[in-house]
Amino acid sequence: MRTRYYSKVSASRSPRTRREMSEQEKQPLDLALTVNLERLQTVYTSCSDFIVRKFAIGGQMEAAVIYIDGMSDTNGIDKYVIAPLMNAEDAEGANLSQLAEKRIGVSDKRIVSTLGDCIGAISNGLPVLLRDQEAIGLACGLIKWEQRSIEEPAAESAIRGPREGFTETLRVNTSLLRRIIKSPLMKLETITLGEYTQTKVTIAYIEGLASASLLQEVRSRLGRIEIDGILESGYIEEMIEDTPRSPFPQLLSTERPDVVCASLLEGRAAILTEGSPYALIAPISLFTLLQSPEDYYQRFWVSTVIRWLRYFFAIMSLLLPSLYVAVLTYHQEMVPGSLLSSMATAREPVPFPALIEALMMEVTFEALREAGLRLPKQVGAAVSIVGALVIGQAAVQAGLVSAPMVIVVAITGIASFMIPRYITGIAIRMLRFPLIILAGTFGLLGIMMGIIAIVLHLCALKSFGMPFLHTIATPKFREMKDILIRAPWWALDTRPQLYDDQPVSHRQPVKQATGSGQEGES
Amino acid sequence: MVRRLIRASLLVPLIVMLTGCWDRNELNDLALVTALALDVGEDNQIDTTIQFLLPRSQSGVGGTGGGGGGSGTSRDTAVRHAQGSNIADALSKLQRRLPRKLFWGQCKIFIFGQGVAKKGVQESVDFLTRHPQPRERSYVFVSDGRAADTLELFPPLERSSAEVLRELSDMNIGFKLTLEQLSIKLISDSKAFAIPYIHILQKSKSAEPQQTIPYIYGTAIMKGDRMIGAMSEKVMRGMMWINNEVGEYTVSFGMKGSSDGLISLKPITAKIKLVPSISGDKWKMKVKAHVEGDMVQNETAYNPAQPTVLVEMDKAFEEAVRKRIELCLNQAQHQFNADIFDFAGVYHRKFPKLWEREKQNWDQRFPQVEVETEITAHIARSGLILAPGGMPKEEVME
Repeated sequence: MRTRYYSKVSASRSPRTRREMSEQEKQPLDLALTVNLERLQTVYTSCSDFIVRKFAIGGQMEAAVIYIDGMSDTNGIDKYVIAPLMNAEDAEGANLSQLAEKRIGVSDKRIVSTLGDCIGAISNGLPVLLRDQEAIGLACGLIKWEQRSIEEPAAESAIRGPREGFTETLRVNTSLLRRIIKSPLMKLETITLGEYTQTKVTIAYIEGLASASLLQEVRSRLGRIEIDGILESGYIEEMIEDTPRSPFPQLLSTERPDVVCASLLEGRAAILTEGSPYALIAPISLFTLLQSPEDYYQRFWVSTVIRWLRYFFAIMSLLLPSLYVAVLTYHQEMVPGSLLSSMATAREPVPFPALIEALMMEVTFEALREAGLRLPKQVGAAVSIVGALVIGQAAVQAGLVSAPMVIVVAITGIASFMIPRYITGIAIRMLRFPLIILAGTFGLLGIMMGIIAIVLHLCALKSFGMPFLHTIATPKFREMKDILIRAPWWALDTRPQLYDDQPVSHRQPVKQATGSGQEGES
Repeated sequence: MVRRLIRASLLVPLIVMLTGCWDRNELNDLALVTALALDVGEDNQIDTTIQFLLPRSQSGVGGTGGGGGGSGTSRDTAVRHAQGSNIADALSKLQRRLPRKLFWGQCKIFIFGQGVAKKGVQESVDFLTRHPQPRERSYVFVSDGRAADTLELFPPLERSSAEVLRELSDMNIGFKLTLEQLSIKLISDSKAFAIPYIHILQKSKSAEPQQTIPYIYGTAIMKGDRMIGAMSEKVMRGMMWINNEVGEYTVSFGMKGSSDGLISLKPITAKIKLVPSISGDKWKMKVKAHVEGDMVQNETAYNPAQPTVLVEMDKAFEEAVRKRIELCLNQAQHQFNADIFDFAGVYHRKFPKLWEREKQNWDQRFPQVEVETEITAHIARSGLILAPGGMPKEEVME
């Protein structure tokens, strides 16, 4: 079904241009430099940043360096390519690769032989050297463009743990991974996606840990993508998810290299995208979304407690407002008497039914959150003042909403921010609205129906073939020690068994380096 | 697929509209009933009085108003009453006089006026247990005089007189009875039971006219479903000993030989066992009790650290407990002829076959049951000091 979906997408675009382009791109380079240049000129018509620098090797042989302004190191081209070649006296008779060996002081260089290769190299910032009377070109690795430096990840900060985050440059991102996992068993397969953007996408995995079927699935799903452009990994995420219509993300997006590496070590695969600081990880379960990288850096019992606190508040953020509405409109006998009397007192001046009141406040809260997010930092403070004073204080005093409702909304908001993945938090918060309406129409029965529907959906959900409720829906007690608790590292001796056909793999035996040894000596 | 989804999603709002929230009760449309009082009205009708919460903020929602003045006491509750041929009828008439729907889910107190209790409570219990809203675990009382009067009080502590009664019952000091227990006791073998009996506490001099509370004074003795009399608090204690319901309360007793001064013990733990036996036509009941208490006051000159003295004290303690139990037994057997201890149930369990034959004679049998008490009492701890506090050493009797 999925293949049909994508083929429909590609068919709707004008297919003519694409076929023509590829025909042309497959052509080998011509012997004559003028012909090659002419062809490139026609491909790059009206591209003001396209630069051809003609010169003569050793004062005799015509040659040209072709590059795109701003993507290549012009200083380097002058110093290491053009200047030594112009001054070469023994250039006569030597072919391009011989010349390159002797005269060009650039470490990364590769031969291009078709027009398509040429265009690919130039577009990626590699200057291409062409010579007359030779049907090949030389792409030199003199890429240089402006890029953001490595900064602390903005959306996933941690108190303890590395402070490096991914940047927009794929090469930097892969280097961040390689710096952590130095074993050559970590493989980085790169493919190009996007008809116009030609975005490089890298699949990272560790050979021997990631299951072959997973890799095959990742490759085939990525390979089926046909799209004009990929500006962010979110495009890819939506195209390769198992159930794109689900509110729950089935791939983990993270901008932390340590999270990616931890996942790779567990046998998962990561997808890195040029131009996006977010890497995608697959497969994941619901509990992956509720785990924070810091869980593994803190003392284990602290992590366990915090993990449970997080589970509790995740449920709170989903259910609290609807429970409040249901209890207040249908099940007043369930509230302790004195609490109910103070609630009744608070609700007395409120003219709206609890359901309307809850919806109003929740929508306002979502609006405030969204507004605060998009505004510049300086204005953000103003939004929170308006939110706190107008919504919180004034609305209660004016008798538009009751104070308990404000408290419920505030707790829900805080609870949803406790979920370490921002996107997941939003997904859960959005599910709140149908639940509130169900609570307002059917009471606790409605909430129960809603919960059953959500649980059924979660049971049916899969992430790259792995059940989304992995280890809970399909009990694997060996893995509960990283779900129900965070067992200490020496007890986390097996890797998660992501697929049933995968054998249980043991981690390198971790020995506790504390205690006994020293005691024995002293 | 997409089309199907669109069609399905069109159905969702329909579901919401169709049901129309028929069961919905906004909190603002409910009168939260805290207590129900039943009295005998005119023409032998039943007079129902409810106490309900006024959802009025103590701190004032509209900011600082004109300032107190007025009545002085903050009134969080109001009272309304109506008469009818039975409770259901009376309450439906009451509903007509109240703009908000009666909500029984928070009603934890039911009070029978003395008049109703004497006429019989069974019909009322039927309504209260049949209706889905009233709680089975709410407390039941019989009031001295009209029950409605107890609801017209505005206690200085707690929000309502109903809340006062609930808190007093929860404290485990006095006797308490829930609606569920009442409905069970109505059909028990003994055909007799006790319901907490409440009085209105005399108000203190500085208090406003209605500013006082109802409190548990003793028990009403019920036979069948009718009240036949009342026991004072002191006698009620004896019943609580036998029924194993002794909670936190203080026992004070004097020592033999020293006429001045009492010893007080608190808290008391008691284990009671009823052992029935029948020999020929003689029915006997042995009340075995093991009680323990901590000394909280010692007015005598005796030093409990002395083992010999302690044995004497234990004996005095034992005697005190026996007196209390026997006082109650005596009243129940001879004054009221009401088996409020459910001896009938004990015999039934022990001699099921014999009981079947004899049960209709229980009324004649009960006063003749020979009750024997076997009590072991012990003072477990003497508190922080041993010798009587503040007494010169020479005066302490070892």
